[in-house]
Amino acid sequence: MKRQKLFLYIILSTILCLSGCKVSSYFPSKAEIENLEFIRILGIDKSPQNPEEIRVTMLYMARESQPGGKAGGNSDGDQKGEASKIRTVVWEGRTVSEAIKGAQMISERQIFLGHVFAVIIGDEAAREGITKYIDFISRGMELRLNNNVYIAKGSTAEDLIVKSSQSGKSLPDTIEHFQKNYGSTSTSGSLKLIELMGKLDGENNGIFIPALNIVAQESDSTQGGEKGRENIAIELDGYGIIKGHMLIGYVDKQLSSAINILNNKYISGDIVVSDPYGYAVTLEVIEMHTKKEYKFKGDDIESVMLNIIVNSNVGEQHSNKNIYDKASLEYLFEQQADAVKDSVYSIVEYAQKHNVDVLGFGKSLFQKHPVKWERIKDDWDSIFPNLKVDIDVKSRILRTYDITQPNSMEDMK
Amino acid sequence: METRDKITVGQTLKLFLCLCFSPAIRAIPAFEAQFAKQAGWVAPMVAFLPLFILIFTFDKLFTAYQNQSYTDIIYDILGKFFGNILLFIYVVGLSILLALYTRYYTAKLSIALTATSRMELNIIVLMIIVYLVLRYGLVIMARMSEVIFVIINISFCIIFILSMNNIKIDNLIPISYLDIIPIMRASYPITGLWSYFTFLCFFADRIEDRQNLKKVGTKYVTYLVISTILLSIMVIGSIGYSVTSRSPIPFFVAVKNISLFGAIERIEAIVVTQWIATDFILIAVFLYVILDIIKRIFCVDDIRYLIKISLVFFYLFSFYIAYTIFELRQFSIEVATHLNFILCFVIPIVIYLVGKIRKKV
Amino acid sequence: MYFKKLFKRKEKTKGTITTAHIKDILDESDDIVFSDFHIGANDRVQMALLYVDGMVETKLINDFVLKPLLTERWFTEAVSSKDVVTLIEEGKLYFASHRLIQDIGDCINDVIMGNVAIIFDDINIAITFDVKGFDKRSISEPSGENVLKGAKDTFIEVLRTNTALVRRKISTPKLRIKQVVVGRQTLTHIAIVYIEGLTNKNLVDEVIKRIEGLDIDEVVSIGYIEEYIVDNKITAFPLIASTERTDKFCANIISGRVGVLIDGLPIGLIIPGVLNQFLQAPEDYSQNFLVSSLIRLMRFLLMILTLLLPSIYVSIVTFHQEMIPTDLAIAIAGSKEGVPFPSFFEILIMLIAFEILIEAGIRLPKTIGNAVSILGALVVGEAAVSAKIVSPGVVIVVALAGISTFTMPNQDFSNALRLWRFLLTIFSSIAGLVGLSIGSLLLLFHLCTIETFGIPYLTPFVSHGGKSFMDTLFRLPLYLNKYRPDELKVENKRKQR
Repeated sequence: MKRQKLFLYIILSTILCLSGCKVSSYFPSKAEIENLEFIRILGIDKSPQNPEEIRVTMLYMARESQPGGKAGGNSDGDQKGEASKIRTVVWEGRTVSEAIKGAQMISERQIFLGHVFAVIIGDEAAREGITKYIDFISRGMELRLNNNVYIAKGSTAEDLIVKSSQSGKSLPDTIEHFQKNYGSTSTSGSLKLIELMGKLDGENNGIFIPALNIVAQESDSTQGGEKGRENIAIELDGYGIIKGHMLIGYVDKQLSSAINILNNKYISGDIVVSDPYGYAVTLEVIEMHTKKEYKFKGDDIESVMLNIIVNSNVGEQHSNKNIYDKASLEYLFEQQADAVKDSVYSIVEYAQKHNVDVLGFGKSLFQKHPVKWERIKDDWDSIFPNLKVDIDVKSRILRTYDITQPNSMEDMK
Repeated sequence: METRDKITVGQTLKLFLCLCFSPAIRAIPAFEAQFAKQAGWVAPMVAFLPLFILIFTFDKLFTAYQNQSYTDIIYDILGKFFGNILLFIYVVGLSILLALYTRYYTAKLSIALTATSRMELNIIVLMIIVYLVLRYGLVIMARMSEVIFVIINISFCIIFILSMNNIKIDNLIPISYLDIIPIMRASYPITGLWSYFTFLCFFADRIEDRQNLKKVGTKYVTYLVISTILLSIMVIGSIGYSVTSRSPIPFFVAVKNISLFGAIERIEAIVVTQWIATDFILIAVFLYVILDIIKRIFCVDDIRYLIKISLVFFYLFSFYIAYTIFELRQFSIEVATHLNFILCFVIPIVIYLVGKIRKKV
Repeated sequence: MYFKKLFKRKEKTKGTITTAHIKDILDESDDIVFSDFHIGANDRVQMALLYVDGMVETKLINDFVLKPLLTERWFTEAVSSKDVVTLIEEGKLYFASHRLIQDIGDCINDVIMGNVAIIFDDINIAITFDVKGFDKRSISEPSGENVLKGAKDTFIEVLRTNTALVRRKISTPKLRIKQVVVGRQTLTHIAIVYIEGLTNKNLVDEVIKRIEGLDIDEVVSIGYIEEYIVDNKITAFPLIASTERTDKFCANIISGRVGVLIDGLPIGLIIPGVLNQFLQAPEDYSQNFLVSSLIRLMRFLLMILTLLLPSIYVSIVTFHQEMIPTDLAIAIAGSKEGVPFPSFFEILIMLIAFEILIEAGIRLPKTIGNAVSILGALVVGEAAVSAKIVSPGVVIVVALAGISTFTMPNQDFSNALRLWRFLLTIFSSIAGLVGLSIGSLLLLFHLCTIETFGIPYLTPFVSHGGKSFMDTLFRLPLYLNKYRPDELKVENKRKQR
């Protein structure tokens, strides 16, 4: 009986293996790690030649064959070494997926998207509407939802990626640096794909996506090239404003920091004001918090009061006067408050003019007054542009750093 | 079927929690987000009450019927004829659920990892392991579930801690009186899933210390509720209700989102390994219960020869019940949810009430 | 439990005791010494002296057997063999114990065991005296188990010395040592050690029954006992713990286990052996409980590491590359450039090389043992990587997994882990983490099905969630560890107040 059973199993397995079904299709697909190309950044644009098609730019790091080998021939340090390993692949297709799969045919290794950490959408593509361009990256199995999303300000993603790599910069390192350090100025921010998806699904119509800008700098260094040669840098420059799902424009750094203030994403930054003597003083913001209070008349919203608290430290002063007496400090408080008010009023004006709620009003109204929101949400598009906004800024300067009075202060002499 | 004998209440409840894990990570956050949106994480608190009622009902039944299983109780309260009809309904219902979960198992693997490979081999491998375990009986299954229970809970705790960075309070509030009805709607499928406890009562005669059911059951059920709430908070809090409701496996998507210090990230493949273990427990327990009921209906002594046949049957049935993920989802929402609730929650309560009326309890 | 059928005992030698008959049975072995003596009045009493040369201390025979027989008045005046036997029975010979035998089989067995026999042909009686004087090893430090902070005495090849060592550590009069003889050819004495009123009687009876039921030719290594008496034979995992250390042996006896000592082997067996035991070392109780707890936890994690690390590496590198941090992934990919073999093959080569090194290290003489380690480091480490046979990452993974194996306190257990490591690597090479999960599930199933003398192998992780769980991954302070392990069902559960 046992021998018969064994015989039966052997027959069955033989039939299975020889049946013409590809046995390997039953097993998960495998790929040796050295045969993979790790794509780090995806750039998505409208095809310039064929508007129906999508152009995808993929950035990856080339590898040296030697174990622990360095980038060839470059002794300028890691930055340059890393940058020289950057390669790009550009391909087009009717969809993002088709373009990526098409690119597999010209790549020397299998394209692997599991290590993509940033997606850049071109200006024109974003103006057309971002949902179709991000569907693949939202849905794809290899890709993940905590990728960072950027818009290429005034250019295509391909341009930005290719130019940055040609200039000897490592764009992945640059973007990682932006991720970690955008809070030092709070003039832009960070947006994960999952947050973008939530915002697109949400009832608010305003989304702000960090924008990357190509900046040309004239090089006066003789290192690695001719003097006066154009040096390209990538700058994190404010936000691109999305209404619905289409890009409508960009806001500069000042307005972007105001957006951060109103959405409680302001981490730290500098406010430069004048002291009573007309000299510049840098106030390093250590705390910025906004509370929105809504005034209702019945079910109708009358106005919103923005209570902003800003605390800062004196980081730098240009005069050699004592500005730490009561009168001077109060003057500085006022200057600080005015600076904040100005930027906030500007962004409120922008948002109401374009009827795009990037100020977080709808979201905070929903969270604080969900019942009232339920009643007015359908009319929000008409309410928002006309909403009265009052701003009250409580401004304080808490301290300074290693020295209080400046060098060569007049009173001390 | 057994070469071993009895299991303890603790082992039974660990089996129960392992059973709940697999549908919990797939269905609970999705239902919560779909019905109750950002307030969905409160739904398990509401579903706690029906589960408590169910456990107390069974405690009362087991007190009245010492050392007897749910099958014996049905026979005694409803009589042989109606009892057989009800048991037959249970067999059919369980078979549908078993086929559904078998299909879901391979669908989850496809979504998560092996999109390009065919699903037959996954099911066959799982069926072989189920066959090996069922040959040895309930005690081996209970022992395996004890170890698997510890592993999945430790890994869930670790994953929750890692994902705390991603949880945003804004995704979980506000909760107002407008959310009461949606929360109750969201708790309905959860109640059905948690009522799988009823299936374990079919082999209650093999549970040693049943008198501890209430005491031990309360602890485990509380743990189940807390961990489900944490699961909901983790999923809805990190990816938002809109993405959760659209995702076939929202827990998987939430884990994909984890990133800590740039080093601990992309760990979603690890959770897939847990699914295999918990789905194995689920399928093994369901099949064991089905065979046990068949044994009682047809009054046979040994049912071991049916294990292979039934596994082949369910392998084939799983392809017919639903093939694509869309069919699966639709079947799950329109059929399985109600089947769970009726079979596992309503019927035991009805049995208890009939028993009360007939003064047998 | 599966009870073995009792087989017929070995055929006893039959017949009356006479020197001619004995000579006939023993044939002409040059180490068997027969000496004829005449004593008594007018040399009337004839007797023969029989012993095995090399097994006895002849000085004892000369001074305490022959001398009194030939010089003492009561013996020189004896008129018959019966008189002499009576005198010896009354203790007139300078010997602490003797044994009067009327069965030829017992007589021969005693002589072979190292006793001297005086045979009285006319009355078919033999009297044997314990004059064992064979060379034996002195008690030394354990060679296979390191002792950091504990007794350094070990078992040796002589059963009586071993039982004496146990008696010294467990001085209670309730300690019982029951001896049985196993092996048709070797006639090996096996001692079963337990504490009356503490150890579960059923367990003791079962052990004795299984050992007595053995019908085998020889007992020259532990496997002859171990493999025959365990429940599950088809498993790589040890079901009986073995130790050279007397303190570990005695600690387990006091916990309620049964010990087995085998004459001729310097090892004590501890029955039953569950998985938890193989992760514990006696040093755990010598160190501070916090330190011990951390070490135990680390040991547990290392067990998982040694089992799973190579398979996790294969899965991640071949199927789930997204799990590796990007820079590391690029580095691994770069280091693998030019290596012709897939990752699974590399791991397999390295694991096999590691096994070769271990095996060579055991077999090689100590004098050139060092050369093996240098050769291993050079060949496996440097040269294989430079020659692009394997990548550096694989070397690190296998080295780590290999070193983790040696942190297991029990060698048999670590051998089982090594075997399963191969299997899990094969599973993971087929289907990645899914395959690894399937393999782990099968391993878990296998462990759950194993029982040792009625106790599940994974106790106390399964089936018994009670007090014995306190002494598993963590060691609680001794004053809190009041009860013996639940699963042993001992008669006296409480260890201390």
